[in-house]
Amino acid sequence: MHTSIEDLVAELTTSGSETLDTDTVNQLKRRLKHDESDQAIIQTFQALQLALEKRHAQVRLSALQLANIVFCRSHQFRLLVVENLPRWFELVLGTNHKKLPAPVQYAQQLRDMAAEIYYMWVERFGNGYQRLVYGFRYLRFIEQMDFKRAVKEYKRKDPERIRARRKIRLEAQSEYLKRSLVSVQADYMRTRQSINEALDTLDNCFAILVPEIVDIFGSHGATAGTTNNDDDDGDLDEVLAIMAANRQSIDININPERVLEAEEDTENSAVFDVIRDYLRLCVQVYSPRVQIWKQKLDRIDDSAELAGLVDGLDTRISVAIEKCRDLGIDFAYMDEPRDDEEDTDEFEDAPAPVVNKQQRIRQVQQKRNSVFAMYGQQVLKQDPTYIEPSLLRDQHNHPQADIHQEEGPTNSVEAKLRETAPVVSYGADLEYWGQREVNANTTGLEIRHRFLGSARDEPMLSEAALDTLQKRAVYYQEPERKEIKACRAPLPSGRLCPRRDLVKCPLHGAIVPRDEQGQLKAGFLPEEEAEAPSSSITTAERIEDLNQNDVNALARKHQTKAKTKTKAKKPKLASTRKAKLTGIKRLQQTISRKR
Amino acid sequence: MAGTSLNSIVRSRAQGLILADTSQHQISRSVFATLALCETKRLARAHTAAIHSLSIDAVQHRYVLSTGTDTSIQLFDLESTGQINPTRCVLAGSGHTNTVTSVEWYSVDNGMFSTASLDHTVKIWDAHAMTEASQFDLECRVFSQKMSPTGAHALIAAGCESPYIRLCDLRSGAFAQSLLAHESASMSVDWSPVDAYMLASGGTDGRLQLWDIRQAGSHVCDFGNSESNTCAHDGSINGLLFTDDGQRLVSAGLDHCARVWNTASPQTPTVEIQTGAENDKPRTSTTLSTKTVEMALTTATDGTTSTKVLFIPSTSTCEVLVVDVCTGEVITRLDAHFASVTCAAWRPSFGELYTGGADSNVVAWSMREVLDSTQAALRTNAWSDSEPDDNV
Repeated sequence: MHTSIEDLVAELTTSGSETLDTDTVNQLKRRLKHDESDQAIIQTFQALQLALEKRHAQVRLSALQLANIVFCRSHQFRLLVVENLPRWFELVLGTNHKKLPAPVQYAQQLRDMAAEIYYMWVERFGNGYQRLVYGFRYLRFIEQMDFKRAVKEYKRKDPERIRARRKIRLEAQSEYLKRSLVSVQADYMRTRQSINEALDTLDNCFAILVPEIVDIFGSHGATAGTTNNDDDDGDLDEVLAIMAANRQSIDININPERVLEAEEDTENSAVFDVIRDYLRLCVQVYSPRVQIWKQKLDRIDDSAELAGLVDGLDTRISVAIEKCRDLGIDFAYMDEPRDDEEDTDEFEDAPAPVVNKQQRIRQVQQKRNSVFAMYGQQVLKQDPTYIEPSLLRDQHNHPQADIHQEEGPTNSVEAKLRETAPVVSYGADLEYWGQREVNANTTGLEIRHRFLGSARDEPMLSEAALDTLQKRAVYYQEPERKEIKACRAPLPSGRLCPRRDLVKCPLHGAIVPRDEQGQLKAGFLPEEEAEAPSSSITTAERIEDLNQNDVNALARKHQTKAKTKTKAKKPKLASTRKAKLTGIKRLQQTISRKR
Repeated sequence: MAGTSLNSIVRSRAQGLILADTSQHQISRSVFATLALCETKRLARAHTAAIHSLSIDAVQHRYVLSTGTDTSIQLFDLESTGQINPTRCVLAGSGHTNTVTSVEWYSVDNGMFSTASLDHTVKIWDAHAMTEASQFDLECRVFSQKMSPTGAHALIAAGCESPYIRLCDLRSGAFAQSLLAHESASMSVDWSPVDAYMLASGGTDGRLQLWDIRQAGSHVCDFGNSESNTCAHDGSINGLLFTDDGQRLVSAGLDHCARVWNTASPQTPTVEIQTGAENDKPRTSTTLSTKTVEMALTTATDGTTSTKVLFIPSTSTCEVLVVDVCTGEVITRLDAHFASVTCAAWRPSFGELYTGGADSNVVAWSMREVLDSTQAALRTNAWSDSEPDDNV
């Protein structure tokens, strides 16, 4: 019993962190669990009541969290809370026109959390403590509190619902696996016949083409000292075992060229054709299908039997394919389309189209132009009827390419003028330059009124309109702005001086390069060792006599001293002072209100 | 002698330490001191705004009617336990169009009830079909209405905003009498349960008057000291109740005080009960407060022969005071509402109290009850085993 309950509660509620410190909470729990006379519970309640009465939203928040923990566990505590329920409503929910204390963001959090917690209490304990239900009705109908979020959170976190959801998920999963197993089995049963047939045929073909080692053995005659007279295949292993035991060995020379009689020639072509047919089947149809089965069966646990069978098939197929490779069969023929589609009635398991998420996103982002459907596509460049809209060029950049002197300097005056004349790109003003009478009707159609008849005269452009046409707009270019530097001297409030000037700051003197802390960058200030050691701060008689540099130096010294004192930041309670309403904040507020 | 247990009272009586009537008195008190929030019975949420009036039928003591600001009238059957849903109701807005201030069962049977509302009408309803049977238009806001519990006549006394108390005759469908009662409004009326023609009325001027409607002049007397010209209450009177022997009259006022008067001697009240907190100043606002308060009394059938217990809502807190009418001492305070309590109704022979308040709840109170297993399970400690178990 080192720390009292009041101290524990005070520690927990004034920590300033979002969640309660688990060690301290456990300490408190330990104390309360073994409390026989309910004294500790009463003390906790009183300490929490005190904490809730504090005018700081963070303290109330932590107090509420702690109260929730004890409420869910102790009957006595529940009775005490239920007795004081109206006051607690006022303190954490702001009922009865009571305001929740600053800071503002924590006040809102407090209210939301209180709604959630209270709803959970009503759901769990409402049946045993009727006043909770009465309080809930009061909050909903008279104070008109919105419990929708609280209900959602409760439903989400309700352990029963979580269990139910998990159960449903597991059941669905096992259902899926069962169905998967059944489908693989059915597939296997259906195609087992044809796969085995294919593999057997292939084996026979291989046997025809490549004689067994036993036959080679048999044809060349045994050179080892075998005791056995019968030369069956089955005894071969025995023979070899006995030989190995007797440290005898057989030297077998197999001439690869001679053994592999598997070369394509007129005799073997039929066999090879058969091999090729079945090989194509194996590679294109059976092998992928078996792979898919293997994948599916991998995820199912109790499919050992079927998995074994499928594995066996897989090995046989791969061995056959290897043998075909060894035979030197070129696999390229498989890409050609077949003439006769034998397996049209058999659907092949095509792998699902893998759509890259990135591709999909890119496709969506390329929004179609509503007017020009094929805008931006590269194909259009090949279309001779398509003219790419050229970007507006800067009117001051004019292409000089076509200006060339065809006639020589026949007219010297003209030539001189040409030198000094400004070269201007063609535009409407040049088109209409010097014209006085311009036809306004550019359609070429006769203007005819229903009743009044045709126009006697052609409509002409007005003077004002013609004037505008003959003008050229010149766009002003903004000159390059020079960046005015900020003073950035350290201010006593901790900020950097924001004044901007080309030359000097009225308070801090010349504007010199400073780093992020406001310290002068090294090597800029002239050395002061030559000056008198006593700074002007001690010798100055009036403020005007103070040398700004000495003031700066002093300020720097103080700053470095202060810096060494600060330690690692630990969470503390937010300040309750209202943030100053500056002009920018006021503007933001009006904008957000209007929205 | 609060807190004396039943055992000690009986023991003292057995030893002859106290007299018979004192012990009876103490026993009743200790019984009523156990009145607490009922955990096994709960009326379902039916109102969405403040409740103004409750009425339990006088015949079977089985049905309760509740009305309030949301203009709906709900009927509950009190026989069942657990959550009681309204068996019948008049939907909000389908009957009255403004706050219903008072509801009262017909005193003879429970086939009919009457309501008064701020929409200037007093309506009579058929309880079986929950439809309106007839209506009286008073042309000003009606604050209370009551019919005589003796059943000798079918007159409804309606206290409304005008200085007249109007008696509505059910038999003829017209107004029988108008009594010029108070200067401005009469907030509450009550008939004597003994004399069929005696009526008490209290108004916003603080005067409490007794009427005999058979007489020509009607006015019998004014309660309160007529020599010094003080009224019965400093503020307006917003609740009146006769005891069932007709000898006492309880009046509750907005001056945070309830007075018990002897009808035989109207000069001074016999008992004064503080209904507000100690430092509360009497509400002397000029605006008319429409808050009537309904009190409840235990009856002779409750078996508490010598004690009459009054249940009166407090004016400043959300409590209901349980008061001994003869002595004026507060037996206990019932605190479960979240806003001010406006009405109380006692269910005789069952020992249950129902209170309605501005927080839209009708709360049930009872004296002794047995919790079922699930409730008892909830009301235990639940420290989990995984929690640390050190004795540090």
